[in-house]
Amino acid sequence: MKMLFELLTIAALGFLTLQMGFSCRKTDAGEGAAQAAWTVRALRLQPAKRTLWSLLAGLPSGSGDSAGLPLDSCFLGNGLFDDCKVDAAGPRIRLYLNVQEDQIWLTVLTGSIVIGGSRYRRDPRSRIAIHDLDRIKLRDIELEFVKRR
Amino acid sequence: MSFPIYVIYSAGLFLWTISSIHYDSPLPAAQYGLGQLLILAALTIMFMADKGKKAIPGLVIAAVFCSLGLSIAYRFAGEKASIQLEDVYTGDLISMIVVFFIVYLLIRFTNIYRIKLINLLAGGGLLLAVYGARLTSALTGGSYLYFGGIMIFGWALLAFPFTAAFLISRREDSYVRGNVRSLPWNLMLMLLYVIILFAGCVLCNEFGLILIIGLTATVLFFIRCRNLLTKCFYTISCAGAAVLSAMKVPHVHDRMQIWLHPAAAAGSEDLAGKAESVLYLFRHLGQAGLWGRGIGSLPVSYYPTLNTDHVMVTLINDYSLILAGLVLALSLFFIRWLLTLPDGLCGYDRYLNLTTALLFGFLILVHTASNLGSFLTAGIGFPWISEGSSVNIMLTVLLAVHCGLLGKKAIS
Repeated sequence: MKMLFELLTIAALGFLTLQMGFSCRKTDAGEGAAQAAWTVRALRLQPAKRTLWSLLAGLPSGSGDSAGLPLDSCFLGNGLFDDCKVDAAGPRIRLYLNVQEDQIWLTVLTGSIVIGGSRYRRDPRSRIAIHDLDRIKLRDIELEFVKRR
Repeated sequence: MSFPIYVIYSAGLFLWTISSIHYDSPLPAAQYGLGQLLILAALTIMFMADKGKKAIPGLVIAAVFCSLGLSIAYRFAGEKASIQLEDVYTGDLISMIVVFFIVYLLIRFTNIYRIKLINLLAGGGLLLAVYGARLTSALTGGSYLYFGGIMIFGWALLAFPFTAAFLISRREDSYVRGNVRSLPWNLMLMLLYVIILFAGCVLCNEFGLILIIGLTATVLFFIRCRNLLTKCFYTISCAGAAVLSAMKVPHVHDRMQIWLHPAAAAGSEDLAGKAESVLYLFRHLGQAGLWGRGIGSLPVSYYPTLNTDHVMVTLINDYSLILAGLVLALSLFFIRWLLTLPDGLCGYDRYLNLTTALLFGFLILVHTASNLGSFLTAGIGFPWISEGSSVNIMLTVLLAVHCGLLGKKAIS
């Protein structure tokens, strides 16, 4: 009798485990992605120079693209390990974006950028406030930051 | 579909356990039966209340673990002097169910858990509990484990996720030395908090808590910290502290010796009785086979923590290797379920949920590794299967937090 109960328990548990495995695969609960508070739109100002590096890095080859920015911090640049990659030509550019509800604090970590005619060079101690519809230029790429309503 | 299968499983386990061990008093069996009914009732209420059925898979797995906990409690009931309701697993189960529904409703329908003061109080309260335990509690097995009648491990499970989520999800308004490449101050505060907490744990001789909180905090820190040098410094500091404690803290040193040299430890007079749980598996796994040796076959005198820190050994020996394997598979699905969350929740909610999932994951990982000899004995129980009222109640709070977050709407 004990053997029968043991078999019943283990069989039911085995069936339950299988079912849990299947339900985990088809779950629609989501992955907990953060809601984007800002959108960054990239616009190419001149034809892209395709290199083996840009091909390997999987950088987009189109003339424009956009991405959502959640309330968090991220690296934006033309390096392989940047959170938000842009296909800007030339030497390394790396920006630190601290995305907040009312503004984005931007810090130039590597290279330089242009905002409204002024050039900002590498300075990890300074923070530049970016507001809705502000545009920054990374050589042949222009980025526009749009706040989501 | 999972609900009726759970009913079959719990009924089968009940009959298997009852037919394996007979007591003169009918009280242990009655408590076991009552516990099963309470779990069924709670599961039924949640099944009807949770419209999206997102919480059901995890709750069924938790119920499976609780049922096993009841069976283990029944199996060891004969060894206990007292069979009062407040001293047994069924009594804990009543508290767990009540606490679950209160926390579930609070998390799902209110935002009071996000209030700054509550999170600060949780963080401060945890420090008070750890240092208060050192000052007020009596020695238990060489450690100061209790504050206010509750294990400090339980206090930590309750408070740490809220404190960590609060500190990590703060806005990055300033940085150490004003340099963006350095740590943001909120992350620095979290590091300082963890260091102060660890110092208290060292004073209490509670190294299992350091291990679990340390692993969880490390993952959170590595996710948030964006400076490679700081990460390297952090890793070296943690490794150094671990080596130092393994060399200088006597009981950690003993456990390290048992882990690294189990055969030599078995013959050592100094380590007599400390290596048995690990060695038992090595010596008797062949005899236990796939189907186990039967419930009640492993005498508790063999090792005193077979219903708590070494419950996996009991599962493999008594309940079968197959059942233990299925429990571990279910644990993986449980962690996977804990990591799912509706899209669009605020940063605080996401980090609260992540911390909860990490805590469960590391508890299961460390317990299993300790019991199978893959890691030194850490004194960590398996969630809900191991006995331990305060820890199980606090784990239920975390379960309720996740269930509540699953039902929340995205922030607009």
